[in-house]
Amino acid sequence: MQPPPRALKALTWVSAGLFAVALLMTLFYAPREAVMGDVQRVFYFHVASGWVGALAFLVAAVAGVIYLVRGSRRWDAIGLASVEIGLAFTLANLISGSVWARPIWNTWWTWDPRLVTASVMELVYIAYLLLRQGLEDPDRRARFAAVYAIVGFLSVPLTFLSIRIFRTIHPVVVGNNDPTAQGTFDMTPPMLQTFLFSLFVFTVLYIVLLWHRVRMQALAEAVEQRKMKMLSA
Amino acid sequence: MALEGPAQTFNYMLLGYAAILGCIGVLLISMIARYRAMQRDLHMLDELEAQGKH
Amino acid sequence: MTSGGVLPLSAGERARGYLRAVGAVVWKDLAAELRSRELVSAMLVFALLVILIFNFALELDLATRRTVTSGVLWVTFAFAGTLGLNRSMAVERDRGCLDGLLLAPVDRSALYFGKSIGNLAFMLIVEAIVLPAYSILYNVNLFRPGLIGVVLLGSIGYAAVGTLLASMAVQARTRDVLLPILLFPVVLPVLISAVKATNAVLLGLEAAELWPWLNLLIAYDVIFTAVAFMLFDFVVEE
Repeated sequence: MQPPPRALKALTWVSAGLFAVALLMTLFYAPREAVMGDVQRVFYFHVASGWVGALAFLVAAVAGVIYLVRGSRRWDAIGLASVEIGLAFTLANLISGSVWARPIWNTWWTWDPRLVTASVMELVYIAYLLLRQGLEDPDRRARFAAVYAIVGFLSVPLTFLSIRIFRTIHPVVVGNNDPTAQGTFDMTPPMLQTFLFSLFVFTVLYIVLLWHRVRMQALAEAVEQRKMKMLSA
Repeated sequence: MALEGPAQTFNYMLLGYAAILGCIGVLLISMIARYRAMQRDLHMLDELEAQGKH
Repeated sequence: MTSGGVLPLSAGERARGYLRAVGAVVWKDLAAELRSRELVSAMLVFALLVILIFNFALELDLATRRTVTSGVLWVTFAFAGTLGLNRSMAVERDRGCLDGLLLAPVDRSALYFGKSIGNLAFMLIVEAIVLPAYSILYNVNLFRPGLIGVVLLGSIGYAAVGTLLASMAVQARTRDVLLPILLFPVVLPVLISAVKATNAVLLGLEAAELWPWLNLLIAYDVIFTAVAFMLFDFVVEE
């Protein structure tokens, strides 16, 4: 594999730096929330992780469509990379959400729309990887994975919609001015800045990880090909 | 009520950060480990090919 | 598609040819099933066993039974449906029918519609037997006008996406376990809406409780039939 392009190297360092800054912002710049205390700080990275999970899902679905239309293996790699990254960030979202819920609502789990939808998304991610694992032929594997990414992505908003009609106790963050409502809070400007910055940093992080992972996939395929040649020689 | 102050949730905060950083960390470690394994495979393949040529 | 010396088909002829192809696939499955009765009997026995298990798993007094019926029914249909889907697509693969069908000069989507209508039919047959059986065993009145409509809408959505995913799952090494893993996260909106709609019908709730779920079911059916129909080509090409 050729050494990473300069842009990627630079971006990697930048993203690491940005991440450190964001971490410090959430810990020291953002004020401590009046009711919930320190655990509320988790919220910034919690939502940012959820955002990356959803973005990764979208990218995987779009990559699936492009793969089916064009047949270029690169788009299959992008889909796979996106799913792996989305899996990790969605898990981060789920666990941090659970940890936040515990002191606030006195429960580790609630059956509200966002949490359940995130869990379903995670299950679709896992199913995607299991599907790939069960298929030997690379062309078929790529095609089926693309199809499933599309189907999965389309179903998740519908899942969200169906559960939404149930009562929710998930906090409505922005724009809700009733601080007595359970689990909600008003965002002061420093909080808003930290929040938006975290979203930005996590997006950059996603792009960097995606880029690296896609390059890795190209290498993996090259190694596979050489192994096959060696075995058949 | 006003003097009670925010809830004491510092430990949960640590747990939450640990979860997020942990997940991202596991992803990174997994990627790096796989990359190293591939490099090893490549070296091995290079050696085998060099041997095969004799 | 047509050879050199033949006149091109008119739109009407092509449409009729398409419908005939769909009908041929459906009839093939139904006729085979009529003779062997393996699929439906397996689904049926399984469904009745599930209902039996529920009887012991959930200690139900009469009041609770009424609220839980909807969920029990749909869990049963979902599991039995998986069985049927798996068998239906596995048969194609094992007997090599799929290759034969693919060689036929007909649009691939006709194959999709044929298979999914066949799968739907099997589900409906099983449901038609399970519903009265449940009604008797649990002493719950299931003869409500809207119920058939809800069961039909839910089954359509389930079969539409299930046929597509089963076609994929059956070509993988892990074929038996893979279909539920692929299907259940994706078919959740159908199950949720179907359960709530069935509940609304059975408990005689007002229309405002029922309509959101019916709308969701219809939306899901339309979206996923369209999507599955478009993607099916990619799943069966060799």
